Parts: sequence; structure tokens; C-alpha cells
Amino acid sequence: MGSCRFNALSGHGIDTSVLRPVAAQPPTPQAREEATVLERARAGEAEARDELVRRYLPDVYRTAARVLGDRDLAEDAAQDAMVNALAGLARFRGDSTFRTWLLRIAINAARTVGRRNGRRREVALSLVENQPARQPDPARQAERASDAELLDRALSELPTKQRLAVALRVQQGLSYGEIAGALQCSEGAARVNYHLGVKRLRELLR
Amino acid sequence: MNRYDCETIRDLLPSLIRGEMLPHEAVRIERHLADCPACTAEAEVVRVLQATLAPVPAGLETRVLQAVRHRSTRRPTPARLALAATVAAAVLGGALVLNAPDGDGAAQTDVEAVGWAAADDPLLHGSSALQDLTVDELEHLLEELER
Repeated sequence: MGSCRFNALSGHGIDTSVLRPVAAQPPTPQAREEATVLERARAGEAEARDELVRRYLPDVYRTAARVLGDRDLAEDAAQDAMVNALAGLARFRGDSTFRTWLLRIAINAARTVGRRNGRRREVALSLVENQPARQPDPARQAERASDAELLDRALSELPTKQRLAVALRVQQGLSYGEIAGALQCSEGAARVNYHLGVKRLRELLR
Repeated sequence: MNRYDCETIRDLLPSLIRGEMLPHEAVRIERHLADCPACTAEAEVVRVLQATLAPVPAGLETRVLQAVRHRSTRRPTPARLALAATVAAAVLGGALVLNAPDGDGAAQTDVEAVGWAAADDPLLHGSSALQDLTVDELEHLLEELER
């Protein structure tokens, strides 16, 4: 369904390649370089494993933080995910990008940590609704910071899949195909979750 | 612009705001935004979201690097391997129950419930021979079950 609509969009002169699954695209130089690092890591090269940690830990941590809504627990989950992923590198078959595979592990690690800690999300909707009206003329930077805080709280109110779809798409730049891989859902479902999430955010912030 | 165009534009907003679009494509989208308050409002949400990336806590990278190095340099003792084999056999028994023909739906749910390691584990997907597992996988299985 989605692909037919996207194909039709090409007639508008807009490059819709970002909407297609990554697997349909030729490997970029970055992807080839990543494959080399992965091979070195698989062969047991410590420097390559370190490189993978440095490269992907921010994405892994932020994804875990979006699942858990707790920075300390997100640190634990990020560590578990990186350690387990690198220990099980032989399992990565290249069916998805390495980042997608890793983020799926991060999401599952975060859920495991959450269950272990009996995590309950505590951000109340009222925190968003009761915010004072925006000041008419504050310094632009302060207004931005306030908006960011509101938006962050609103984001935490979304259902997990919507929250992750929005965060992965906007903040981490994943395609719908990659999000689908990370969330273990269809590409169409990833797209729907993203749009429902953004729509809900707009409602919460109105 | 019609609704159809708005859907396309909104799909592309994250790429626009991350600076990942070609200049002529970005201009086309900006033109649309100039005439479309609804898409402009969504673009503002996406912009702020993009600007609110949580910083990675200081020290986390060092901590994870140390954990990864520690894990990769650990050598399993015969006792740990024997224990891993025992618990793996127990998991295999559970997997056979979970994969019973009359319980596929429930089995999938249960496999997901035990976390990523079990969900990806070859033992739970038809490989019944412990010797198929690498030392890392046995170690990992052991650690998961020790928690």
C-alpha cells in the first residue's frame, strides 16, 4: 500500500528514497566502512569493538532512555545491550542494518531492565496541561528550552511504539524500514506510529 | 497544496530538519511550508524534537568500554561451562514446551517475554545441540539465567 503511494509521489519531483527500506538502496561508502569494522570486531579485534561502542552508544542510550524514561536505568540497559550485542556478534546476519539490529537489542534490554526494576512511568499528563502559557516576549533561547522541556514531557506520554517511532525517526534519523526492524513491526506500522505520535504531540502542546 | 502533498511533506520533515535533503528538494518543501500552517506547525514540533537530543551521561562510554573488554577477555572455567550446559539444557526443555504445536501464539509471547537473548537464541529456534553454541553464547545464556 505504502510503496504504491510513494512511487506515485515521485511525480512531484520529490526524492522519496528516505521512505523506502534501506535494503533497497545500494551500499554507501559509510555502509561499506561499517561492514569492515564489523568484520574486524567479529574477528575479535578489540579496537573494532571499541569503535562500535563509541559509534553506537549514543543511539543505544537514547533509545533505552525513551523506553524507560529514567536515565540511570537507561545507562544499565545501554551497557547490557552493548555487551550482549558484541558478545553475540556472530548472530548478526546482515538482514537489517547493524544499527537496526543493535537498537532492537537496546529496546529489549530496556524492557528487561524495566521489568527487573518494576518500572512505572510517572510523568503525569497534567504536567503538560498545567504548564503556564508561554511568555509573550522571553529571550528566544529560553523559550526554546521551555518548548524542549514541554515537548520532552509530552513525548513521554505517548504509547511506547509511537514514542520510539518519533524519537528514532526525528532524533536518530532512522528510515521507516529501520524503525520497523527495531520495533519488530511492519514498515507501514512504523509509519503509522510515527504520524500518530507526532499528531498526538501537536495536540498535547496546543 | 492538497492533503496528499501534506502527507508527503510530513514524511520528509525529519530529513529536511536533519539537513539530509538535496538543496532543491529542501527549497520545494520550504515553499510548501510557507503556504501551509498545519505542516509548519508540525515542522516546528519536529525541529524542537530534533534539538532535544539527550546528552550521553559523562562516564557511560568508559563504563561500557570496560564492560565490553572485561566480557571479551573472560575465559570460561570448566565449572562455568558445565553449569552453562546444565541451564541451557533446562532452557531447551522449556523451549520444547513453548514450541508445542498447539501453543504457537502463546509460545511466541513467552519467548518475547524472556528478553532479546532468549528470543534470538538458537536453542529456542531449533538448534538442539549445545556444541552449536559459541563460548560467548553459553556465557551469555548463563549470565541471563543467573540474573
